[in-house]
Amino acid sequence: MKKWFEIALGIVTGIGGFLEVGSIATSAQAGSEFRYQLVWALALGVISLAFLMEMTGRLAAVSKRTYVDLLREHFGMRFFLVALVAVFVVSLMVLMAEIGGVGTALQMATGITFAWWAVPVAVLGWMVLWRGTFGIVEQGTATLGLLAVSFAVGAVKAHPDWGALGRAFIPSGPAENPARYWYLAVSILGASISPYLYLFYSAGAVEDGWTQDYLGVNRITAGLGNLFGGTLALAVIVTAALVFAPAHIQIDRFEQLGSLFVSPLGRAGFWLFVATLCITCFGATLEIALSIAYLIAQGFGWEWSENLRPARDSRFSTVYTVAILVAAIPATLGISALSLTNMSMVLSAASLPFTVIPLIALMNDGKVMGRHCNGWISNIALISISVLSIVLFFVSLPLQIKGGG
Amino acid sequence: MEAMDGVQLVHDVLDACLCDRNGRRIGRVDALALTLTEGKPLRVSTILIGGAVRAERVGTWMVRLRGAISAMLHHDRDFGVSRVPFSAVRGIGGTIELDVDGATLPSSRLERWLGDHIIGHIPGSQGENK
Repeated sequence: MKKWFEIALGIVTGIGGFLEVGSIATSAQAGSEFRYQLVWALALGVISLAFLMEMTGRLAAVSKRTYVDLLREHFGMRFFLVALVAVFVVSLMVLMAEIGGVGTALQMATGITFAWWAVPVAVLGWMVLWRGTFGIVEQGTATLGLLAVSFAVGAVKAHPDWGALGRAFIPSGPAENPARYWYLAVSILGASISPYLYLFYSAGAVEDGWTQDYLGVNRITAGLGNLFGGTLALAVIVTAALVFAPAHIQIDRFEQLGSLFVSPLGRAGFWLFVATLCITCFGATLEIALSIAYLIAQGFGWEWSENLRPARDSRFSTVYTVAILVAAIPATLGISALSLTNMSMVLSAASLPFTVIPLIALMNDGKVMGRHCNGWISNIALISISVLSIVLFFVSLPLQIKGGG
Repeated sequence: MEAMDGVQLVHDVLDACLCDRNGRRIGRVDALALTLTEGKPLRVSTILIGGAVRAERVGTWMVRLRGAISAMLHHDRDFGVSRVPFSAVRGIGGTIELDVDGATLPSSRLERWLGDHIIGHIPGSQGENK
């Protein structure tokens, strides 16, 4: 019974994990500018993330250790330092974007500018981390994130062309503006395969005390959870394609997204969008602040757990405290959530090789994985994701410059 | 420690996570010191933990950067480095267990300082589990 509960929870967590400021913004931009054409990029991102989460979860369940812990131990200080800096910088930028996302949702609800909301949001987030347990962070945001199901209802009520949507799962070249098309494809991939997602998942498996008995739960959670989250991001592409694209509305401010679900769902659509944006971004804020603390504490071998009182792991608690407060600064200075989001999603894509490629060695190391090493399907998937990550590393910055405007 | 065969220093010991006798994580094996006594085989004598030792493994630029920061803070070059005799090792598995009290080690100075001066003063910080 407990396991079924965990599976249900894991699937629901897929929404909180997947849907956040990055995936909402990039999906809406893709739908409004290229209709369904970039659906393949989202599908590729969802599948890649599902594989990476399954593997980092399996690694944690079998070895009882987190991915970061093994990354430092097996690859040494020098490599770890490079990976640490890359993931830290990218995660901090995504954290800034998430706080901006919550602030923007609150601005849409109250009319008070997002800059005023950044510090209160950061302080509230810090209070939840300070007092709450891992279960509260994980389950609370997951349960509230169920509101996002309204996106799927909205997309269906907007009457998509199912045949055209199905065909969009196969990649096709852009009819015009290729720099922008590929830039958005990279942004979608960066938003989908953010390193914090699988680092948080792997740390969570250790926090929850997973053993090899949880390998089935892990597989279902990683697969169905991401499918669920990805479907809701797909709903944003579909609705933006049906509502914004015909009106030639290009998204250059987050506030424009408030009208996304108004035509299929009426006035309630506005409030559902605002609430979903607020909750999913707040959930991601908590998860990313924790991920940054996990990354540093596990890398240096400090005491860490969200379930311990802060004085028991004071370095760990200090890291998430400083991270969440520092991340509130750009939004407080008035830098918009959308510009923070686009920059951080592209950088996120560029950082992937540092955490994806080492997995090939770890997932095939019999000393770590015993008889649960990767099979051929997982290895083909992991090598393909590694190749993808190298391509993203080289193309992201040029595309940011050419197509980011 | 129980006898263990085929322990590989780089694979199994270097960079491994360390736990003290209370089961608390206290850092990683940042370096190992070897002792050569005439007429005897080379012996692993000490586990080193701390930023100054880590910096040496990263490169001279990191040593210089750390040195500059230490000079600003009026710290010795070896500030915060713990030297634990290898004989304190009680077990080598996923983590290495040491028969020491981690709270008293120089490498735990920052953890203690933050706990005593900042984190410990904020309501809700004290106790075991949340």
